[in-house]
Amino acid sequence: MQLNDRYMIFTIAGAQYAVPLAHVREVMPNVEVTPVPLAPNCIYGIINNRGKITSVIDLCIRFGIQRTNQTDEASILILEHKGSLLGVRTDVIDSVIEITPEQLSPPPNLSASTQAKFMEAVARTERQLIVILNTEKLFSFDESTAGAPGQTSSAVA
Amino acid sequence: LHESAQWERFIVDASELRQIVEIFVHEVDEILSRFEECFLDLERQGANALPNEKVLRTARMLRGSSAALGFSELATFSQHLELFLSALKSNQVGAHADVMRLLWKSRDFIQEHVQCLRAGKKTPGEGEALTELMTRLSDPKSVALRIELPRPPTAGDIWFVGDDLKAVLFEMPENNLTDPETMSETENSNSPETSPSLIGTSEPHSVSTTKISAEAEQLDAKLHAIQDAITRLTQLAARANITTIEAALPAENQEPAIVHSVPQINKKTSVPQSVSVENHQAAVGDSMTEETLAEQSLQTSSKDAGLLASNETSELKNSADMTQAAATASTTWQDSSTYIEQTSQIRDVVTRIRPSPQALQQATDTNNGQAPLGAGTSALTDDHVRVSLVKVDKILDFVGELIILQSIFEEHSSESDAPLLRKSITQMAKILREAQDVTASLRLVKIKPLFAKMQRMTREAAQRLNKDIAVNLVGEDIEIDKTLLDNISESLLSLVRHAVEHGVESSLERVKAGKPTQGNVWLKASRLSKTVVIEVRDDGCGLDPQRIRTQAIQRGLIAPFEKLSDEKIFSLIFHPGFFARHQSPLADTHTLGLDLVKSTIEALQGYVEMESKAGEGSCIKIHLPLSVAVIDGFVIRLGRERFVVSKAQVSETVRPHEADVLSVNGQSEMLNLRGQTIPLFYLPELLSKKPPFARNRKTFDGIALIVQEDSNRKFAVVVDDVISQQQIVVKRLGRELQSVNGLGGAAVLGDGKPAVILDLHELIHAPQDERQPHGGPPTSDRVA
Repeated sequence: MQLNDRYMIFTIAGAQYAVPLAHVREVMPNVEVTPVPLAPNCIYGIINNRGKITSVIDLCIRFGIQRTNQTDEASILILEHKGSLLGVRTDVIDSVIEITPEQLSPPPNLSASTQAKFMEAVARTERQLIVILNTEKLFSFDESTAGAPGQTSSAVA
Repeated sequence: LHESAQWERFIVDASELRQIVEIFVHEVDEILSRFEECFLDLERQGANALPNEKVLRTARMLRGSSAALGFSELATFSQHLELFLSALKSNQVGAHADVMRLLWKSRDFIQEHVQCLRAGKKTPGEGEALTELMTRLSDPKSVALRIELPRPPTAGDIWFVGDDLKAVLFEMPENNLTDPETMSETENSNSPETSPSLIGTSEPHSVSTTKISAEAEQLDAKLHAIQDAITRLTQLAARANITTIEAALPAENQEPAIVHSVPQINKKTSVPQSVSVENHQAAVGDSMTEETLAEQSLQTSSKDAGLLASNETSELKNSADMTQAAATASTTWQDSSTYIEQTSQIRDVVTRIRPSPQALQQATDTNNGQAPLGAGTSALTDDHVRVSLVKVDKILDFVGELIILQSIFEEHSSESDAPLLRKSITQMAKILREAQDVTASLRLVKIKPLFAKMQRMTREAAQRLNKDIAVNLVGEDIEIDKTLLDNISESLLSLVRHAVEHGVESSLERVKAGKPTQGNVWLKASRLSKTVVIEVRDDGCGLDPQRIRTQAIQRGLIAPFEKLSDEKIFSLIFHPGFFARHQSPLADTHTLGLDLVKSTIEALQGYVEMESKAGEGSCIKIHLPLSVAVIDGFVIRLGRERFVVSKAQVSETVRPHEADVLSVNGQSEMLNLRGQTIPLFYLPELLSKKPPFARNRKTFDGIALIVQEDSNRKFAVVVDDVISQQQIVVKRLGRELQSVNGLGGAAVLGDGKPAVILDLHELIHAPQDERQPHGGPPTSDRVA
C-alpha cells in the first residue's frame, strides 16, 4: 500500500470527505478553539499547535452547507501544505482507507455549488461516494492571498 | 604626532566603545567566514577562476565598517585587498596557487587583527581605574583628553591606540598592566606632563615604525615602477608579436600580488615587536638589495624590449634577442618571487614572536577584570555561536509546549499526596519559565549597540565635514529582531550620513538662518502597533520641493507639467536615478544610495517614509515589521474571552464612574478624563456583534484603557477586566488572518491557550461595515 493511495476520511454534516493522508499533519481530538473576532466567517478560531498559532476553518461555512449536529466532539484535523498549517473542524474522524486510482472519477459538474471548487475527485467505495478535497484550494482564501499560494509563512524571519 | 589628530575623533565612553568593538568583531567574523567560502569556491573552480562580485562586496563591506568605526589599519588593509581583488577581476587573472596563497594570508591577517581586538577587550586594563578615567574623559570638552595620549597603553584599549603604542603594549604586557602608580598619577594630576617616561618608552618605537613604513612606502613606489615597466615591456613585446613572451607572462600575472604584499608588510609592522621590527628592518634591507637587482634586470630587459620595438620595422628576425628579453623578464619574475617568499618569512617570524594566547590570558587573570563582552573564558576564542533562526524558533516552540504540559501537571498535582512530586512540579515550573524567558530573548537584541555605532559614525562624519552636530538617541532599549537589526545597519548608516552631509548646514549657514550653531541629528526607535519605527531626523535645511522637482525634471523622472504633492516629490529622492554619483567627502566610506536603502527596507517587508520642511529639517522613518517580538502586554477579559493589548498602546487604565460618561446624541459616548473629554468605545462593539463578544450595557463596571493616539488626542476603550500584565511573545497569525485589520498577532497564554492580540489603533480606524463574510479587507501593500 503506497502512501499516495491512502486517505483520511472524516465526516462533516453527515457527509464523508477525504484528504490525502500525506497532507495530514496530525489529529487533535477535543481541542478548545479560541474564537477570533473580525475574522472571516469560515474561520472557526485559532489553536495553539505546538507553539504555532494555527487557524481552524469551518468547512460547513466554506461549503455553504447547514451544520446538522452540534456535537461537542469536534476534532481538528491539521493539514499541511507547502509549509503552512491549517486546522479543519470535523464532526467525526473516521478512518484511513486506501483508494486506488481506478476508484477515482472526476468530480461531478456542479458549478452552482460552492463545494465544487474544493473538490478534487470522487471516490467510489462499496458503500458510498466520498468527496476527495483539494488541499491546495482549502489553503487559498481570497483573491489577495490566493495570489501567492507557494509562500510559506516563515518567509520573513 | 599624527596619531593625535585621529585621537580627537574618538571621544567616546568605555561602554560605547565596547559595544562598537563587539559589533565590529562579529561583523568581521561573518565577513571572514564569507571570505573563506568565496576563497574555497575559487580554489574549487581551478586556476582560471576569477573573483566574483561577492568577494568584492565582502571586501568592500570590511573596508566600510572598519573605516567607519575608526579601525584605520584594517580599513587601509581591506582597501588594498579590495583593489587587489578587483585588479584580479579586471585583468582576468585567475586564482592560481600564488594568488590563492595571498588571499588566504590576507584572510588570516584580518583574523589575527580581530583576535587582537578581541584579546584587547578581554583585558580591560586597570579595571575600574581605567574605566573611570575613560568615562571622565568622555566629556568632549574636557581638556583632559590629552592625558590619553601619553597614558600607558593597556590591553584594555588596544583597539584605539596607535601602532606605536600597541608595540609597547605587546612587548611588555605585564609591565603595562601592573603599573598602578603611573596610572593613578596620571589620573590624579590630569596633566600630560606628569608621564614623560611613558612618552619616552613609546617614542622610539613610533620612530622606528615610521621609518620602516617610510621605507616600505619607497619600496612600494619602486614596485609600482617595476610593475609599470613590466607592463610596458609586455605591451611592447605583444606589439612585436613575439610568441616567446609567454615565458614572461607569469611575471605580469604576479605583479599585483607583489604590489599588494607591500601593504601587508606595512601592516605587519603594526604587529608590534621590537624583535620583529629589527627583523623587518633587516628583511627590508635584504629586499632592497633584491629590489636593486630586479631594477637592474628590468632596465636591461626594458632596453632589450626597446631595441626590439625599434627593430620591429626592420623585420622580426632577431629571435635570440627576443628569447633573451623573455628570459630577463623571467628573472625579474623570479626575483619578485623571492621577494614574496621573504615577505612571508618576515610574516612567519612576526607570527612566531607574538605574545602567546596564554600570556594574554595570564594578563587577564592577574588583572582580574571582568570580561566586558560576553562570558568567554579564553582570551582568543569567540564566545558566541551563530545559530540558525529556524533552530531558535524550534526551541521556542518546544519550550512553549513543555510549559503547557507542565501546567497540566500542576493542575493534577493536587490530586496526588506525594509531597516530593508536588515540590518537583513547582521546581520544574520555575525552571521552565526561565527557559522560556531565555529562549524568547534569543531572537531579540537591543537596538542600543547599533545606535551607539551610528552615534560614533555620525560624529566622525560630522568632523570630516567640519560641522558641529550633536547626536541624540531615543529609545535605545527597544528590542528588535536580530535578523532585522543585521540587515538595516548599512541602510541606517547611509541615512545618518545623508543627514549629516545634506541635511544639517554648516555653522555659518545656520547662524544666517537664525538657528543655533550646533546642528542636531536624532536617532529614535519606537514601537507603533505592528511595527518598529526607526527615525533619522535632523534640524537642517530640509528638502526644497522646488529644487527636487527641477532636478527630477532634469533627470527625466517626471514630466515638467506633472503636478505632484510635496509628499510625492519627496519620494522622488528615493528614485534610483535621482542622485548623481557625486564625489562626496565621505565617498571613501561605504554608503548606499537612498534608492538602495529603500529597496533594502522593502525587502524586509518594511517601508520608508519621508517628512521634511524647508528650513526646519527632514525626518526619514523606517517602518519595520515585528515578526517575532516580545511585548509587554495586558491580558484583558471580555465575557469569557481573553485578549492581549500591547502595553505600549495604553497610557493608563481607569475605572470610570457612570457620571464621567457623557452621551452625544445617544449615538456615541465620551469620557470625561480629568476634565478632558475623549471618545469612548466599547470593545465588544469594536469587535463584532456575534454572541461571545456581545456587550451587556446594563452593567457598567468595565475598565477603560486610555489610548494615546498622538500628542494631543486620546481615546478610551472599555473592557470587562484587566486580568494581568505580562511579557507576551507575539506570534504570527496564519496567512488567512494576517489581512484582518485590528489583529496584531496572537499570544500563547500561561495555560497554553492562544489569545488574539488586538491593535487598538487599527480597531478604531478600521472601517466597520466594509467587512466581508469571506476574507478581510485587502491588505495595505505596505504593511506586512
